[in-house]
Amino acid sequence: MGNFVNGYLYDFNWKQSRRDFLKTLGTAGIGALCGGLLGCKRGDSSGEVITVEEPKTGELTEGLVVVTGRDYRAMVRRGLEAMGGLSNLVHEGDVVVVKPNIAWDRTEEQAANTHPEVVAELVKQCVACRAEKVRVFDYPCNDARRTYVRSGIASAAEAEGASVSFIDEERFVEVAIPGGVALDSFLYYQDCMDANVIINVPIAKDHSLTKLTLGFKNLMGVIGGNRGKWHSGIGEKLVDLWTVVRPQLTVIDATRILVANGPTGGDLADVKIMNTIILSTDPVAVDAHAATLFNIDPEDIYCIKEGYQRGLGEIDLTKVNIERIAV
Amino acid sequence: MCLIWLRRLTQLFSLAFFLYLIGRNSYPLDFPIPPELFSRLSPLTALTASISARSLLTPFWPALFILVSALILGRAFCGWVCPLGSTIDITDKLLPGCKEKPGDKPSPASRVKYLILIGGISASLLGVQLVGYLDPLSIAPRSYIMGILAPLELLTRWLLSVAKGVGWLSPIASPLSSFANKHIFSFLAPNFPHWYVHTLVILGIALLALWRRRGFCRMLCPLGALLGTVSRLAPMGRTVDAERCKDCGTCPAECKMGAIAGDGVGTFGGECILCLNCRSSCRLDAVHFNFASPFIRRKEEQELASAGPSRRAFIASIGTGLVLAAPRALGADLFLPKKKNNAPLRPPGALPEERFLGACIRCGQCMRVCPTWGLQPTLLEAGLAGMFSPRLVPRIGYCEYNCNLCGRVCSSGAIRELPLEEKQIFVIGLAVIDRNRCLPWAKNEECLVCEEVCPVPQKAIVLKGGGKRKGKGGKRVARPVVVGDLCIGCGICENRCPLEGKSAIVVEVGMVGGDS
Repeated sequence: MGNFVNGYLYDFNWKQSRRDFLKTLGTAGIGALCGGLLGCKRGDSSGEVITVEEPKTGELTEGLVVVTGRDYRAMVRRGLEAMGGLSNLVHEGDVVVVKPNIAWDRTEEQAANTHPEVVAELVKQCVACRAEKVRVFDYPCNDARRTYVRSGIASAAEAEGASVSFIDEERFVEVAIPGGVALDSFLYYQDCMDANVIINVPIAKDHSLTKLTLGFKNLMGVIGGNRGKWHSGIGEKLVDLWTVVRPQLTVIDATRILVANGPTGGDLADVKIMNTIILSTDPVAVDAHAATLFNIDPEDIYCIKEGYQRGLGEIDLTKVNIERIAV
Repeated sequence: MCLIWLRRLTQLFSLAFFLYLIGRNSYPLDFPIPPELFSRLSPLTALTASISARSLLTPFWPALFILVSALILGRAFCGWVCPLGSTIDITDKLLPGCKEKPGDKPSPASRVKYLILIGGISASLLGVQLVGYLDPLSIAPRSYIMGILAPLELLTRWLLSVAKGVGWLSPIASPLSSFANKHIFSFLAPNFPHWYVHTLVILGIALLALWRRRGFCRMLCPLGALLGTVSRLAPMGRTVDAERCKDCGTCPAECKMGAIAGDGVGTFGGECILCLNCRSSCRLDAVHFNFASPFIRRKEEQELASAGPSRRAFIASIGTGLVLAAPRALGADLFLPKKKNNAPLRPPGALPEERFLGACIRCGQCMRVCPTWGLQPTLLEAGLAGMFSPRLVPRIGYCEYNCNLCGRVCSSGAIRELPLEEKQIFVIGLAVIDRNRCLPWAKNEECLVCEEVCPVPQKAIVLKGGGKRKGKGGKRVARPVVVGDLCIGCGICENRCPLEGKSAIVVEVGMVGGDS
């Protein structure tokens, strides 16, 4: 189960049955044992709020790289070369998180998840830069076992040497958000916090309330808690969230985009083939450029505007150096 | 002696295989043997479910093997294979027993099961399925899934998670926990709020040991009654060499079914489960199990009273079955939901309600396979005669759009096995928004979760009206509206609604049209 249900409903029942257990099965022995164990200090839920250090920054070229073509793997390679090569970001022994969108139980042509070839090629390049570990995961909205398989991402990424894992509910940690506007702290996934390098690989999709789901929105896959409650004031929250994760590179998969009925899709009539990949270190510019593929003004998308106002990047594409490559 | 161990090993293997199949009864369902196999083995539920659903339920074909085995080997199934029987054998050993005095007649209690059998069959004539509540091949999966394995897993998960937090325990607990997560535990922790009901059922059956060993099998089991009846035609059975037998009284006391007359020679028809305890306990080698003409056996038995019911009891049990079933058949089940839209949501592919309840044998396999634990056993929500049938409870778990596993593991065909394309348009119910609770409707707060997660390609929930964003100047936010023609009632909206407690969007049956 993906979302908030784990946050409280399922959790509620789980606690409920635990309590019932103690009532019904709780012989003195078990009771004493549990009491003794509970009395011990529990490491995983100490209520501690972690603060993160400033993440390392790579030496990739600034500006946008927009690659078009039909060979998605070659496009990723050419795009990375144009940015100065991934070896300027990923070094030997790094732990890398490649964070695609694997939220929905949909096939690749339905354009609800990141294209598996794009993810696989990024993993391959990270492995080639001798990263110690390349992790691929998402916190899906549908049954994770299904989304990992049907999206094609699990098998494609594993074939290139990624460590693909499901979210473990117990491994969210509360992280402080210094300078957060809407949030002081939130639950982040441990693996994300442990990584040296984070590469954000969203798919560009229609999304009713935020209009589009792009790079900022894709990071919702690394947080726990009641994510359903996020949708009120989502722009500020997404940007707050970003400031902790700070992916060093965003690769937007616009090989095919979902122009309506997102973010789930399902109807091929809503899928538009764009054969485009956008790469940048600038989270605002990369989302802004993706918005133009939908003929939407980036200023109309709240999280992009919010990110710009907080100085995370440039929203005015005329001020951004764009390198266009056709493969 | 070695045959006894062969029997015990067979029982152990059978029980282990039964439990393994329950474990395999989950996504992606790739085990070559159908995981619901055991619940399809009962010729009795096959018969009553077919009668009460008014159609021949072909998924029960494996039950023919049990029927044929009973024609040849008598009740060997009960003694060697039945998972509930094996469970009872184990609990009988653990619980203090009660000394019994074998007599010349079978205990009157052993007739009760025949009455249950007859009552159950006659109730099914009125379209009401009662046998599923007592058939061991329904009780065993249902009780193990919800009453034993689910709470056991929750307890283990909890103990492991506590142990992981304890410094000196965590080096042991962490690898144990990841092993269990990978190979033993279900993907999501089991979630059956009424698990204890099923624990109580199996506990009650186990506690019959205080009265008699195999108490359930002797007194209550309608499948045992059916197989016992059939076994009267079976050539395999117990014979005693009267010249060798010294009437020592060992075997009648040893028999866990109370199937042996006090003199040690006579066997009560239909009671023996071929456990071979009498054979191995006989020091004079006077007891044999062999093939003989069933007619000769019956003649011998006629001198003893057989365990079958009297004619009067027979007729009375038909009457009882009909009387029990009548209120339901006449639509006067006291517990029937008063309003149609309060009726429980049925799994995708379920037969129409009355036929569904007739066909469903209450084995619980669909509830085990449901990946979100959304399928829950009803208590009285579908009336008294609907107890333990599956219902979708979206707040616990929604119906996955691309999933048709419940239909694939349904033992009886009460949930049809729909191809995915058909399942995706099967209407379970209709989502209804409570505008007094829904955040955009009631509080003008932005929320889109139900619309976001709606899996219908053209979205059965749309956001209407208002500006796209909550403005400072008191602008209205967009509000969700259900498109009645598109909604399939999968319940993911109800499941994900971020309100605490009751959802602001609820799937109901019997609603016509949307609220747009």
